[in-house]
Amino acid sequence: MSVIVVKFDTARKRIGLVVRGKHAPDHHPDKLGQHADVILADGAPIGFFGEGNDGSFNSIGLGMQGVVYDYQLLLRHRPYYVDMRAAVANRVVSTVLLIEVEQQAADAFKAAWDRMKTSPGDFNIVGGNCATHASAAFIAAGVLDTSIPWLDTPDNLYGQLVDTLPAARRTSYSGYIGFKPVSSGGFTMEDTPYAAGPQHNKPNPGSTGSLGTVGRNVTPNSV
Amino acid sequence: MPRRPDNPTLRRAIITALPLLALSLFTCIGLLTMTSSSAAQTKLTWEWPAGRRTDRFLAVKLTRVAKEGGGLFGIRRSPSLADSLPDAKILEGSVMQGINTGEHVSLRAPGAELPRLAAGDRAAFGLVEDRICICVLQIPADITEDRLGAWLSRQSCGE
Repeated sequence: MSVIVVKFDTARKRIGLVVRGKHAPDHHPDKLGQHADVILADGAPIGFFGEGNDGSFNSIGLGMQGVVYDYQLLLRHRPYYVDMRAAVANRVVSTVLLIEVEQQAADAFKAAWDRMKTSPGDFNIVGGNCATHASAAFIAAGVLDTSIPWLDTPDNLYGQLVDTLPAARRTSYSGYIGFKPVSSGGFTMEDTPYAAGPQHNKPNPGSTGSLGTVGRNVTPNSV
Repeated sequence: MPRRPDNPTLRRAIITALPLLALSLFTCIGLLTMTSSSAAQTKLTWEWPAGRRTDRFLAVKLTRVAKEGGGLFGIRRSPSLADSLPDAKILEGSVMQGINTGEHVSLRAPGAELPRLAAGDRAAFGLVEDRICICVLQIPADITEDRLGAWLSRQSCGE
């Protein structure tokens, strides 16, 4: 199994967007089949979710309590988002866009997520979702100037970042994504690339079973 | 990458319309929820172990094992909802042992983490922090009720 390991303890500062359910840069997942997390400059994954269902509007994704999951909470609630083996077993394919930024932007991005963690506010499936909050952090960091064009979806945010930023500042990875804590602090990102083919199971989050073989496309995608 | 043009007016209209649509359907959902609810149950919450080991096991005689629906428009399956679980299954039953004997409990859990279970089977729910379940085991048929306590005390899961 070929695994790409991405380190974050380098002079180049990078932050990222992770679009769950997006199999490749040119794949556009169903609107309810995708989710956005982000990667802080130390490699830490973090994301915004909607919590609670009291049987009111919550049951249709409106007026929910927002909650921010960091690495530890993702391990409890979404292990297949942070553990590459669990991603393979659950067939969760993601596409990551890493963006080179200045230290100031990296700090502002983290500060935005720190604020969200302390005071997450509401979650609404339309207009106040995971992508809306990820977008707000990219705007706070100065990476983007405007909110997401069209509907707030992780895929549209990905597209906006690709359209906005020069190619030299961004790299995309698609596959089964995981994160490993580093003893000196921060995380590395792991990616077992996914390539569709007759010998591969169709990605299907939630199905049982694991993949015996996986993709062999070991070079990052260019977008 | 082909994408739709930004149209703030249309976008605002959609964002406004969706909650109104939701409002009009709310009554239907409420009625469906009411008709599907049963006697008071203690809801257990599923989490993955994440380095934790079970504190104790709850022996449960299962009365219902069912695949969960996705809710209106499949929204409950959206991965952005905290309680969304892959291939979610509903387990309901009554506690067989201990101070909670007879208590009705329910658990939503991801299908991949469950053994093959059906109504009438006995299951051991591995708990941490009282009501958080991190694993489910099937109680073997040859474990009689008088040996159940000893069997439960030997079980362990999590990491």
